Formats: sequence, structure tokens, C-alpha cells
Amino acid sequence: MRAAFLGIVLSLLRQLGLAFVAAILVAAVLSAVDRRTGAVGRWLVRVAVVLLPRDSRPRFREEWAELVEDAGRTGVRPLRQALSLAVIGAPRMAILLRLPLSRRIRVWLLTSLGIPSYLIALVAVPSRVAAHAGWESDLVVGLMFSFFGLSNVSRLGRYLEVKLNRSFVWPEPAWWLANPFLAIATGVDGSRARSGVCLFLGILIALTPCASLAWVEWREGRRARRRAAQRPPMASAANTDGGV
Amino acid sequence: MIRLTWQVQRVLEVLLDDPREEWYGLELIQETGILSGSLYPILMRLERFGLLESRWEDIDETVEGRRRRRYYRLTGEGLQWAVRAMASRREQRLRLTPRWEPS
Repeated sequence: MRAAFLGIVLSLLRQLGLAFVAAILVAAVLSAVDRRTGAVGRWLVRVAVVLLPRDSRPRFREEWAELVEDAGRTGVRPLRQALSLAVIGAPRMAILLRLPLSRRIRVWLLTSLGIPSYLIALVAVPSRVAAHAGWESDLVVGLMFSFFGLSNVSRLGRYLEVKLNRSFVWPEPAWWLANPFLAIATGVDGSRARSGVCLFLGILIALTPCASLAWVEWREGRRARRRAAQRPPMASAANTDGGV
Repeated sequence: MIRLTWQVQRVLEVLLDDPREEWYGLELIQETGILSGSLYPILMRLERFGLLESRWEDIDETVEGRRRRRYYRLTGEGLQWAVRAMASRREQRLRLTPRWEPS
């Protein structure tokens, strides 16, 4: 029992350590690369264009590359525009260009209840407040991002608790701390490039557990349906026998 | 048809300032204060409804030392629609604004 508890604590510590260290390292490296070369911005545009239908790609590849180049060479504004295109613009346009209106409404309803409302309520509004307050620091940005990573470890933990029917000690308060801190990070005026990178990676980290959980759920659902299909239809067989 | 969000209104305001003028992406972003991720879907939607037209700039990129830009402008139909839409929105806003009268 004690060994199992120790194992859980150690794995938890490893995850937390990874979330902190990896987050700070990745944020620092990406921001440095983008400040020097602007490569992150260009890469983001290329990724964003892939989301669009094939016939629209050449136009927007050229148009958005021009936009990012036109935005300057300081590494701040281009990256901000590229992030905005990759995270918000391209997915929206992919829906707009591909789906008929009825399906667009359904997708809009689903997405409007999900990530955007989360971002607006917990990121955009507090970020404005933080921007007005003028909070800015590299260290703060790195820490905030790592808090966000931490919060997703916590979310994954809650899922595992339910799935495995076991109770773990998860850093629940981190979840509540993460959102306003991330909001501060994304709203800092002077370091938008760094905070933009943080936001982008944060969203990726947020989506990764969700995607993996969705995949697990889908796989289990498929297995259950297969099992149900293989089982002989007892009730209907009895009815048929009775009828004959 | 098109939801008149504050962002769409902002874009229309800028385009209506001088309907004959052509605008490219970064100019519109700077003028409206809207980020590219929100601006391009709006432009795309307006274009699909025939309210906006766009064209590539005709330049020699090697001579100019930059890529060609894509310019946007309201169509005739778009101009009429934008004027009507903005007027009705102003009317709505006036109706909703409480009028304070001195006692």
C-alpha cells in the first residue's frame, strides 16, 4: 500500500516537474528563435494554410506570408498576427469555406460553447486588466505557462480517477490558479510575442489531453458496440420462437 | 445574412470612410485594431456575399523588394448594404440609449 502511494507521489512529482521545466524551456527557446529569425511566425502561417481547402491555399499562403512580412521584422507583431491566423482565422475560414450553413451552425454552437468562451471569460477579459496594470516579466510569463500545463495534468488526473476508480492527490488548486495567471501572461503588452507563444502552446497542451481522452472514449465505445453486435439477440430470438 | 458584430461594424466603418479607396490586410488591421485571425474570416464572408471585391496588386516584386498585396474594396452592392446596415445599427443604438432630461 505504501509502495503504491509512493509510486503515485513520484509519478505526480515527475509530471509536475516536467510540466514546469518543459514549459519554461519551450517558451524560452521559441521566443528567442522568433525574435531572431521570425521563423516561428512563418511556420505558423504555413501550418494555418494547410487547414484551408486546397483551392484556397495558394491565395492565402501568399497573402498571409505578405502580411506577416509586412508586419515588421521585430518578431513581435508578425508572430502575433501569425498566431492569430493559425489559432483563430484559419480554423474559422476552414469551416466557412467547407461546410454548408446548417453544419456551420452546429460547429459554431459546439465551438462557441467550448474554447472561445473559455478564452474570453478566463483569458481575454482578465488579460485586458493585466495589460492596464502593466505587469510584465519573462519569468512571470514562463511560470504562468507552466501553471497552465499543470492545470491540464490536473484535468487528466480527474479523468483517471474516474476511469480507474481510484482516488489520487491532484494539484486541484493549480487548476484554479492557472487560468487567471495565463490570462495575465497573454495580456502583457510589452511581450506579446512571448505570451502569444505561451498561449499557442498552452492551447496545444490543453487540447492534447482532450484529444487523447476523446480517442480513448471513442475506442471504448467502438469496442462496446462490437461486443453488443457479436452478442446473440436474445430478446428478439425469444419473440420469434414464441411467434412460430 | 451577415451578423453585424462590432468587428464587422468596425471593418465597414473603415471601408466606408472612403468607399473608392482600396485597403490591404495590414492596413485594415492597423486601422480597425482587429487581429488578422478575426479580420480575414470577415473579409472572406463579405467577399462571398459579393459585398467586397479584391484584386492582387500589379507590381514587379523584385523591383519593389516586397511581395504583392491583395487589395479589398466594397462593391456597389456592398456599399449600399453597408450604408443601410450601419444606419440601422445607429438607429438601434439611439433607441437603446436612455435620454436624460434635466429636471
